[in-house]
Amino acid sequence: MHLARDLEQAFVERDPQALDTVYSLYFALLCAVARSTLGGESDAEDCVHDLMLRIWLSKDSYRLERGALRSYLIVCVRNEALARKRKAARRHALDVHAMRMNVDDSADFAAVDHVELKRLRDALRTLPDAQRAVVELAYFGDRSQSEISSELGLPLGTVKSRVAAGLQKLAAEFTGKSR
Amino acid sequence: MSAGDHPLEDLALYALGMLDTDRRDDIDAHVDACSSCASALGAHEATVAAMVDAEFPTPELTSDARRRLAHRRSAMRTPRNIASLRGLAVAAVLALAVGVLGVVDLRQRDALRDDDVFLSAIVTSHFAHAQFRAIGGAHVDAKVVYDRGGRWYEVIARDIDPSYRVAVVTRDGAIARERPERFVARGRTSVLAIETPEAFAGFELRTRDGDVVARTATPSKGGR
Repeated sequence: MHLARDLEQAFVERDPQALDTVYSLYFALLCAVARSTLGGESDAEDCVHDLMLRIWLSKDSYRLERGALRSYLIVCVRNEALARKRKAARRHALDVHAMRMNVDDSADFAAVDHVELKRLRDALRTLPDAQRAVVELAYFGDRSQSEISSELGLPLGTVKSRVAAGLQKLAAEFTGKSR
Repeated sequence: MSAGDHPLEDLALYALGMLDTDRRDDIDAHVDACSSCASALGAHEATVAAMVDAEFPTPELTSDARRRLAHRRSAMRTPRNIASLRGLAVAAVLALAVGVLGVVDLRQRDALRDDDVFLSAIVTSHFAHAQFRAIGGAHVDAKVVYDRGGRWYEVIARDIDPSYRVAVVTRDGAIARERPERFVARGRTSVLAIETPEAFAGFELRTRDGDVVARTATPSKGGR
């Protein structure tokens, strides 16, 4: 834990050694995160590199009070990959139906049944159905809030409150059981 | 959104990737100024990270990915690499600027080191260029060559004060962000090369005091 904090401090101070260390420690994970959304390996690597460079060049991007650098990077990469995916979808004028078909048939959903995901599945099972539905659509289905709202026929406010409550409960699950 | 309005529910949506870019930018701006929301967002990010950890317990890189990583990491240490090959890059861009060149001579490319990302980028990108237009009474003879994909740009100028700075006009709010890089002068020509994913809509040349002396006009021609 102490080492992680030292690394975060060095990253904030833009110590070049910190960037090397971050790459060594997290690159494979960040690429896996990007790949799960973007599909292709080179697209995923591009996404991670572009984002890392942007974060590195923008001095205000990460602050210690934000928490763990690793978590910050994971969410940044995921958001960047999702933005790229949505932009590409708009560019190619895919209709919503086609997107749903693609996502529903994707390996992402199939992967939920993989044995390595037991911990995540167990945690998700603790959520009430209504919360689990929106969290799964967001996390595994890469849906935006408005897509989930129209897909489930729920007001945006309800989607937001269910996601917030669901994520909070998941945090307790992860923290209480194994962290 | 004022600093007093804490977007607590949106923080969870942010962490799960459910917000569009504009809303994310709003949240980023708020979190920059609000420690409690920064901390709350960090907690949500930790939860999403735990979900990711459960999904990807032991991610590994292929050997190809490792090789590409090494290549890119060396490219991120751009000042040394770019400086070592700046002569070739300058030649290529100069030739382009006077309309002689459509594609960089591939024989030059063959002579390059493997990690010469910048000149390779010129060769392999679809690029465009735009002339700087002087503002007020300034005399400015400068041009920017840039990747249409937004990955790099190079400003080349003749007879300018090499202490001038380049500022990037962003696509979202026309905010001009000054770059830390400096021109490298070679005789009457000064060049400044940037490899960056930063989205740009235009460029400004500024004095050391921040006065704008020139802006880019509408891009004229594409290349490659």
